[in-house]
Amino acid sequence: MIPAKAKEPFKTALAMVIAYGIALAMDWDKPYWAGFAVAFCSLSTIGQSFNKAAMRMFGTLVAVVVALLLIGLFPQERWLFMAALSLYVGLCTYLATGPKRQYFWLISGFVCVIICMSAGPDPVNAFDIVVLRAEETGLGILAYSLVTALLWPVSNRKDFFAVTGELASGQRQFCRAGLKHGKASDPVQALALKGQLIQAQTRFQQLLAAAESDTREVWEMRRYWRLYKEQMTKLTEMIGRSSQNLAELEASQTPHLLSNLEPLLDELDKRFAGIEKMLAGEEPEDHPNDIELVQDTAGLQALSHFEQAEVVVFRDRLQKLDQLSRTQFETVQAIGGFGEQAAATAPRSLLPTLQWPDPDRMLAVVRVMLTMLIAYLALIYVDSIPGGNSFVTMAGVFGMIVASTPMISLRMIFIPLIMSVIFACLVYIYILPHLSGFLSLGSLLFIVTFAICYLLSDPKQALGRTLALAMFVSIASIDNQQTYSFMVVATNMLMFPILFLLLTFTAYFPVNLRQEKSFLRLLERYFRSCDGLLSGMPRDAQQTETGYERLRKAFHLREISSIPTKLGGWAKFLDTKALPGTDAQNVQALLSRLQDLAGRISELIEARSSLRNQYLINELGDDAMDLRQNLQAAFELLGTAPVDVGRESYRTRRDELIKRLEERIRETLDRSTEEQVGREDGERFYHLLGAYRGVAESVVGYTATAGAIDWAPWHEERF
Amino acid sequence: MNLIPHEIALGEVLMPPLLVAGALGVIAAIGTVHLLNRYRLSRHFASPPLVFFALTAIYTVIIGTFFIRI
Repeated sequence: MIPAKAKEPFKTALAMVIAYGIALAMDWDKPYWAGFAVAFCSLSTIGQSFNKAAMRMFGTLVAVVVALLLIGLFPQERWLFMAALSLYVGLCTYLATGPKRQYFWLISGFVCVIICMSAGPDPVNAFDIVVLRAEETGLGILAYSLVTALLWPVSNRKDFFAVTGELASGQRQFCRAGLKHGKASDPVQALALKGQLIQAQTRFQQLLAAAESDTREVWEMRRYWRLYKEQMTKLTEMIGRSSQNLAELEASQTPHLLSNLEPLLDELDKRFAGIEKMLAGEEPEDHPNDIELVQDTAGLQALSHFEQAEVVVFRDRLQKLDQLSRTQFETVQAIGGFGEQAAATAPRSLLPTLQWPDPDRMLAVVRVMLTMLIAYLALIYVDSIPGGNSFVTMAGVFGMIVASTPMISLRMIFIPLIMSVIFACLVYIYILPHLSGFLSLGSLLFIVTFAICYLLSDPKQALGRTLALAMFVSIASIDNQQTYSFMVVATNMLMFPILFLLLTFTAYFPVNLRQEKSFLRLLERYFRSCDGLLSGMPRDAQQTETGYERLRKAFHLREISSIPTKLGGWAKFLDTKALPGTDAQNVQALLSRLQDLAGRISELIEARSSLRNQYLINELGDDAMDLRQNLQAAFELLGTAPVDVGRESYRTRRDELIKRLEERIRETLDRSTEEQVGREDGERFYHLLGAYRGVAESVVGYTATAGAIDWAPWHEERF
Repeated sequence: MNLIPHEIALGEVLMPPLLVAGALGVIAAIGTVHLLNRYRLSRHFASPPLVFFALTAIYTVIIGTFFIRI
């Protein structure tokens, strides 16, 4: 009986042997390209592997077409050729760091570099080289796909349905914990549950993509699963906002004035319980009932305007929660076959929307292009540089890999890489020359591949495992006409340290990519975008946005929603030994605060754009502007010094501004008529006030969390 | 500086002296920056990456002048 840990290494080793066996039997050149395909496809489940295999194949096909195009367009023009190749690799790097099909673009980029640098200097045989590359890649993918499909197949089905169960139960618990009130409320528990839920949502997203490939029932209902994913994100956010609202009401001792809050919470709990049951394959006991929220109007009139704003916003959020939970229930009913199937997804535009480029992705592009340019200059101007064309090839390949994962320190990649290079060189010198026939060669390939995959089987070591396998097949250079030369060993031993020196240079120039510096830089950008969004809010209700303003707003909104996720990626690799006074939990809490602030600001922008009553804006514009400017000043400070907005002094100044605004609102509303301020305008205005207050509270909460971290070591320079 | 071109022989592998001096210079620079980090002396530098490359160059020249003789 083979242990579970050994099954995946066994499958990879078998696929490697089969791929090499067929390539050598067919007398194809460079059979190690088939080995590469096996090495890069070896992931733990069928779905993920099929997905990766398909992306690899299509990426290779696109790369061969582009490579032939470049070789054909720029014969004898080395500078133009290199410029065009760098631009294409830069484009692939930009797209590989995006949200969709990252692996496709990664393969497309570096296969193009490989083909161009091997076929470019030899254009007569370029077509044969690209056809061979496509054949060998297809062979490797086919061998691995067949082995994984037939031998101990592992699918994502079990993990996928386990995580959906976890999500449904997590949402139910979060709703219960977040909307507890009075003495029973526990905001710390609610925040912790929210964090767990967000992590589960990320896992769900990854597993959904893989389960669509290998689980028939998920494939059939994929549109509903994708809709479920979107609904789940919105529902989690709405529960979070409602919970925050309730906590603020209790902190300011403002009654929520909803007489049927408990029945609503019970109804929501029943719906979540129903969703859990349906996802487990059972019919739900109850179907959603209609609940109309009843608010004490007389009590509402007795409150101050800001308190009214809080209460109105809380009621509206609960209504949205009711609506979202009902829609999610119906979607899960459709998935489980317990109800009618309504329309699955909203129509999307076929054309991508025009946006400003993402600065982090552009930095990755600059890094890769700089690496390739320097490698190319070294190839031309440094006589007999180790590796020759391979140096540029490896610069492109490794440049793309490290640019798409900038948070991983080069030390983490260099050590397993150099160990595998040394190991491969020893095998090449001492073992390979003594082998004859495929029986002995196949046994060696099997044992080495099995050993590498078994020793580096931890998911965190996936990159190290892939590079180790790739280096072994590259250095061993197994071919039917096998030759042995010490130059292969010497070249590889010299080429990789020089390559890593080059990559180290681009890790510090033009931008220092140390983890804590990148974290601070992202934080600064986040608050700059918060400031940018507030400063972009128009004063005039009738003013229409220009194209530039729309692009600018879209850019800043994207920044504030994406930066907390990016910070989460960098936070995992922070060097805590160099940052005493920094706890991982405090950093995670900080990220939750940033996500919350991003949500509040989006709400504020939405609330402001829906307010069209010019009378209100004219009457209260100056005081609202003071509050806005107070927030902007806070963002400016927070961007450069994370905790310099002193909590008490900021709270005092903010309270003064709110009090002044409150008095102005009272005066304005007392003297305004029904024509000047209608009921809907009044509600929209309360939404806006509630949104401003929410942002201000969120800033106070952020500064409290940031105060728990010692920021001084973060600003220290280090190597 | 030795004006007669020569190589460093490691067994039967011949290598240019500048390569050997450069490799040793990088290793010495890595050791130095590790110590600078450890004793928090790195905080006094405005641009540690530039310092690293400068140290590499300095060590390469010193090793090349007094030990390897490039």
